[in-house]
Amino acid sequence: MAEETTAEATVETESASKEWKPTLLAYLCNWCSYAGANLAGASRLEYDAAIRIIRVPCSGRVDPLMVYKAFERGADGVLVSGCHIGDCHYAEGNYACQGRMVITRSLLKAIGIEDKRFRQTWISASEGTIFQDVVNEMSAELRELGPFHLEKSENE
Amino acid sequence: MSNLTEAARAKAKELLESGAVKYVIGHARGTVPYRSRPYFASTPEQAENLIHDITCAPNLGVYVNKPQDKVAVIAKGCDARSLITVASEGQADRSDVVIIGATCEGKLDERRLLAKLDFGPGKIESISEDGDDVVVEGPDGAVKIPRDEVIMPVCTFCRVRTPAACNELIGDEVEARENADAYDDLAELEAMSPAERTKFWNEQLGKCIRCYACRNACPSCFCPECFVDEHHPQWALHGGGQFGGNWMFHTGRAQHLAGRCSSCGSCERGCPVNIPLMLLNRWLERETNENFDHLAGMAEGQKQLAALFRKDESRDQDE
Repeated sequence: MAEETTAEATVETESASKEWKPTLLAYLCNWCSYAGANLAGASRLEYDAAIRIIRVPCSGRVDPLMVYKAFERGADGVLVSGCHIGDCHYAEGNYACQGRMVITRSLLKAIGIEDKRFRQTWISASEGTIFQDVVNEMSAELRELGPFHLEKSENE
Repeated sequence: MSNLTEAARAKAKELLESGAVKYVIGHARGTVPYRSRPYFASTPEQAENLIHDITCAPNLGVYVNKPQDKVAVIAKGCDARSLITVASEGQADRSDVVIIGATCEGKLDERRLLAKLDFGPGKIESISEDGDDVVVEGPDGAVKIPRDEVIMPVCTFCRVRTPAACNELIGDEVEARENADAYDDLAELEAMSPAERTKFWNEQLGKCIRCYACRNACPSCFCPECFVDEHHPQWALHGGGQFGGNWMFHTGRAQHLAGRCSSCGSCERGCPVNIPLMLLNRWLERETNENFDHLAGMAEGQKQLAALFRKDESRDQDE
């Protein structure tokens, strides 16, 4: 009897914890945004646990296909972040990123992904608080929007 | 025989006789009267087989890929745009390609034509143009249909009815369509909510059988290995029922063609399941046209879109 109650209790906690949480995939450049995230952590700034960080050498490394792939594989939102314009470790990688992301943003809009699910920002190594703000803001927006399903028509 | 056909033959003959080019790429009559096929004329006699009329829809830019010899192409406005684009991307030496620009008032869309006829495609005997009408000779005599109802949808807002840049020009100049910059075709997609757009594209892209006809018909898709054929990383999954793979293919394809598409409509024309591919291409054309003042292949020696992102300007999308 006692065992059963425990089992039920476990199931209950599980279902409570199974409440949907957004997945925010972030491509952060090694030199600025990743260091910014590091600073946020080192300064004990609390930010939403929805974020999954992938460190890339430079924001110019982010192939637009990586953004689409993230959505295809179930991300609810994608963040691409690098050094501020003029501060790129590789001089102009972030210009390349910026231009591509204009196209990506537009295409995502055309195929029906809400504007707020994709964001491109510049965060420097000293901007731990800005990193915290961006992550929290975006996670809150994703919670509002709800889960993203590629094949919505079938799930509905 | 139309004037354009005569002019095309004469020009091809002249170039082949003088030895200025090794061969002329143009169109010849296809197996059925409403189709043309690509034709490579390498002797003045073969030039007699060339035609140029309303059926010459395929974009001939696909056949110019690192040519070994000098070639001439009988190009409509959109073909000329594609040729200049691929030349600027190092796929051909511009001096190796003679662009014989042919003016154009729109090319035939087979599906639209057949929907208008009350007899089958096998009964079409010939197709010709008369003013603003297309005349189809069928079993019960000639049928006249207004041209705008049977040409490809992209041709109804064409900006290069007279090629923007070419070496030689044949035919009488035709003004660009007035609605070239209006992007009316996007209004329907524009009016949809994100959820409706997702639904719309799920239905459309769900039909895709991944035959890659759109890719093969496109002059700008010249990569030796396309991203969908890569296995490491595997961007787009293969195999039946993999919707995600279709979605990846079409988003990736559209992204790669941004600022490079000449709006010839070959992809849509080649699609066996009628996916409105030009919607995505046109959507991104509007983006590059309005934000970067860039239209692919409209001028000789044009810079590529990626080189245009202004370095002195921050496009911080968050601000």
